[in-house]
Amino acid sequence: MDTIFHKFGKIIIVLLLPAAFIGWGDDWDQIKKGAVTINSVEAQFVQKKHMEILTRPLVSRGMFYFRVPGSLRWEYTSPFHSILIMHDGAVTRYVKKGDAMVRDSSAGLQAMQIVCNDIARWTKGDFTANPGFSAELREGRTVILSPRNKSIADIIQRIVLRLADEPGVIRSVAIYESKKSYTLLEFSKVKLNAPIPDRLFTGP
Amino acid sequence: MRAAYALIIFSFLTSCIGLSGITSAGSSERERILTKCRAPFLEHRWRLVHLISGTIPGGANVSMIGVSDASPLDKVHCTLMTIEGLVLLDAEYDGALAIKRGIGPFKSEGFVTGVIRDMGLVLFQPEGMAETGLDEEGEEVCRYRSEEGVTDEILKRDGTVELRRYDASLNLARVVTFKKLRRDGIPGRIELEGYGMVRYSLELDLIEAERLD
Repeated sequence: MDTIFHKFGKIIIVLLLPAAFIGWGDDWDQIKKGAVTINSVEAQFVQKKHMEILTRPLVSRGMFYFRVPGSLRWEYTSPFHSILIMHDGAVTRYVKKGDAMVRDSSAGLQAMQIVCNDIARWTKGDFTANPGFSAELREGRTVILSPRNKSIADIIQRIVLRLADEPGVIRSVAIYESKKSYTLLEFSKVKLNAPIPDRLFTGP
Repeated sequence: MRAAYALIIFSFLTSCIGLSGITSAGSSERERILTKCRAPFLEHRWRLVHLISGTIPGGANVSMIGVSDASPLDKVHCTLMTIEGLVLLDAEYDGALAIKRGIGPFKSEGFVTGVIRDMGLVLFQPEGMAETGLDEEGEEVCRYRSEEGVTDEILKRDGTVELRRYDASLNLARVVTFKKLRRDGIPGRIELEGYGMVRYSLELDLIEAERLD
């Protein structure tokens, strides 16, 4: 079971890379240098899940907040309300049931603990921290993350990040699980270095 | 250890409550009750998307998104994923189970067979000729008997529909409650409780429903 959580952890680290992938340039050195100036990120997102079973993608929407050194809030507001929070090394998820936000204990959450130790390094532009994936920077500010071993490749085939022209703004992240199944996250209304109140990282 | 055994025995005893008596309906009432009993189940091919929340043994809460493509005459295709979109299970059942993708517990054929069996219970009308009548509470009932056991479908006065599934030994195995039935019969909410050695509960809240035929 530990192996499964470890594997999940490596994957989830990559899923959360938008939080770290800020203040970039055209090479890894510039990315590292740019990342030093970023203290927080706030953005709206639209998540489109494409699968063979669906004729049209399943669309979710929400808000993303990140603050150095490692506080994160990933909040879905539609079609249901769910909040994933990382703060002070702890990871919690809340899902709305009736009128209340109920704490969730899904197995994947245990893997999120692994993320907390690494996210500080990502904010410094160190993308080689996750040994499960190799990172390749391509022209047009496109980053391809590929799994290094088969056990992870069986779950995630590759991640494609497209960066906007404006430094510090990510346009989209596509997570490919197979040829016919992928998740596309598109970010908009990105605010960098705006103050984010503590309460967003301490509870629902 | 004794306490654990006592708990297991108590668990069995409380689930082994047996069938309630029903007073048979007259022929004129029978057709009307049978028609109402068909309502919460699929009669066509549908794609359904649910937010699934559950309580697993030990009391922990888990949440997932479930997508099912199901027809009473065709195969069932079922996908379960995390809220963030990572697919944990992609499986088809067409007389035989085919797991196209399974992560963690969803790699297990036995576990996935249980998932598909629960899907069948909440999506399709139980097999077997239905007896109809009124139960001891005076509520309308369809009772289905098969080799695998007995299923009572109780049309509650508050508009909900309750399924009580008993195994071949007439031990209570599952209770399903259909709530917020739409005009097309698709339930807006389904609650499922599993009894026996491993107790769990699931709540399925409908996100999308699309008829495919």
